[in-house]
Amino acid sequence: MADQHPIAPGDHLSRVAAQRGFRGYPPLWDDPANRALRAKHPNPHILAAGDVVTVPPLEVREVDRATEQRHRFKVTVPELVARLTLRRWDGTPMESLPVEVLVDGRARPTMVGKGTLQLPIGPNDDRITMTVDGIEVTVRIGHLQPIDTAAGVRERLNNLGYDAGDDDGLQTLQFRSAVEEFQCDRGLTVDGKVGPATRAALARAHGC
Amino acid sequence: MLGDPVAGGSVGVFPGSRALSIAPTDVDQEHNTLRAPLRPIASWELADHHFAFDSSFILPSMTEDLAELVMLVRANPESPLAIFGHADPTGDEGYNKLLSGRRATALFAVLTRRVDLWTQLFQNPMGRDDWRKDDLAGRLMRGVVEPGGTSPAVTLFQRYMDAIAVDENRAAFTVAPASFLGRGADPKGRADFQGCGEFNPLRIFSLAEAAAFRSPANKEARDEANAVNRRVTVFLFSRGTRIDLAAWPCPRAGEGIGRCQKRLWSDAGVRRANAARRREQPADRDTFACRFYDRLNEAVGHHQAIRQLTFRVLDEFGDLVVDTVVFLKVGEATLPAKVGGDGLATFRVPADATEAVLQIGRDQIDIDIAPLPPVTTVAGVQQRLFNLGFLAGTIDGLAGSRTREAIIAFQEEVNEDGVAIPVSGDPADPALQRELVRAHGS
Repeated sequence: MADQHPIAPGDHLSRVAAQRGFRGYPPLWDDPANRALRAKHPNPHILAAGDVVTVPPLEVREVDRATEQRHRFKVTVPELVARLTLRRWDGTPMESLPVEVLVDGRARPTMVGKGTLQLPIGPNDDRITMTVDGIEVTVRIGHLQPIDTAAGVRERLNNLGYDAGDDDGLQTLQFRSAVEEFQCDRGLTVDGKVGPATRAALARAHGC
Repeated sequence: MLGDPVAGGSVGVFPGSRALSIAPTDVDQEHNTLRAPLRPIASWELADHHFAFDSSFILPSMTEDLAELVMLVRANPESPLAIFGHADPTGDEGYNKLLSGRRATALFAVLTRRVDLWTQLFQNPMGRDDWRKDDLAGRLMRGVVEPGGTSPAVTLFQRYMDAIAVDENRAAFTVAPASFLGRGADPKGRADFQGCGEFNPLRIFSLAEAAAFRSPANKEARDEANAVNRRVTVFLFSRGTRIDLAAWPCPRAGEGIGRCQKRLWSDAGVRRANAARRREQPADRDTFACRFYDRLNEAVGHHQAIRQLTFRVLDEFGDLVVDTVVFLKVGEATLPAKVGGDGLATFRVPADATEAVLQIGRDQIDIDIAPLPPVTTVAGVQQRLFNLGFLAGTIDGLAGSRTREAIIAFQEEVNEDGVAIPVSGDPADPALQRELVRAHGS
């Protein structure tokens, strides 16, 4: 029986899949019942609170093996990463990358490119903490909302250092100030309104 | 002591960073860009009355207010500075931009001892900003720039700077150009000092006031009412902030308003216009036309509701500690305060700060910033006994033996100091409560 899973804050499809016993998100994402959701929010790791995912029944694979013997079964678990591009205020790549990066309190191996940090993570990992240039930064994995939501716009502006505030009120002065400053920096029409051009530029600047 | 926001200096701190939200990914190109915000941590203002009338010449009165900047810079040595001059909205906006730039230049020059910049300001009067009109400036500067007056005169010039830019011990106070946001890299001061012209007034007159002030008879009253708008602001940025000069949005002090216009709010016209009533920061937050400056100002909490915290500093014998400097760490900033002869140290912190660390010499004291419970409650008695060093442990609001012993110790000390009160050990005792409020100061 297919099941309806409402997305809660912090849910992304890899997490939902793991909670429901799947090895990865594709069996859920590719289910025809989720076509409308795919059209609305095309990234399985960026869903909005309130989205509903149809979870198909788990496929049970049966394999015959002799008893009283040891058998090895190999499963492929899709690789999930948190990829962070760290920039200084003026847009140049951060030279001093964070020395200690913790995922849910545990040190995690990291791959580092020029100003980019890549961490292998598990589907249930929730929080990255790191110290960048003496400033402690906390990152919540899977909390980023789709770009077509108010929260998604605000969160990307905050990530990009525009200080857009912490609540979803799109009418606040702080939010409008952040939108205008972003528009100004990107050479867009400065009107403080989030239209298609601003949305697209914001998603591009953020990287997802 | 930290003064009020208009007349002297004022200090705010950045509220601290928030948790960011990202998306995980299994796709190559997807990433989450995290860019460091530009974070001012404190600001200081040089008011209009420290300049000669209509001039960029700085008067000796600066010394008194400078003490606070001295303490801020010393407490936050790795925080770069940037100077923003402001003019009032009377007259031409291009002229006002240059005028405010000249005042910013003058302050930068005195802090860095750039004698050459003052010489330039003196030799190139602009409109009413003519240093020769001021007796003191004229006397000083004639010695500096007149023929044959090079080395001894430059000495005189330097001596004036050394006399007005001093610390609390009257020792010369200087800031290295490398300690500014642009690190002194640009000879014309890009990012180190700039003028905001008339774009960011703290006060905008009502329509009626503006109409009345247009009459020449009221010019003096208008200039007086506009004095709060003429100021030079110094921002201290988050420790280690470094910027690429090409990314800095502000034009240099000597340049026109072209680059400013790009950074104005989309509704700058409405913001700058006189309205039915007078508008003033911090109650009205729509008086600044420059969005970039407005954001710096908001970030530093300069115009947030700011709470004043006053401490009376006592040593272990209960004697006042006087004439020293103590520090309060709030978030990222270290705020200094001078303890006066009354043993009081006052700090101004953002209203949303909930904790701080008070540093007295080598001692660090954790402070929870929360309303003090009334003295008529057990918790209120306990908190005051705790602050005064009579009670150790938690404030639980329960009148147990620990609280009783602390009350008795306090009452005995009050009696020793010559005020006869009953040694009751009772938190509800009115004489105890009265003496506690007296000793605690609140």
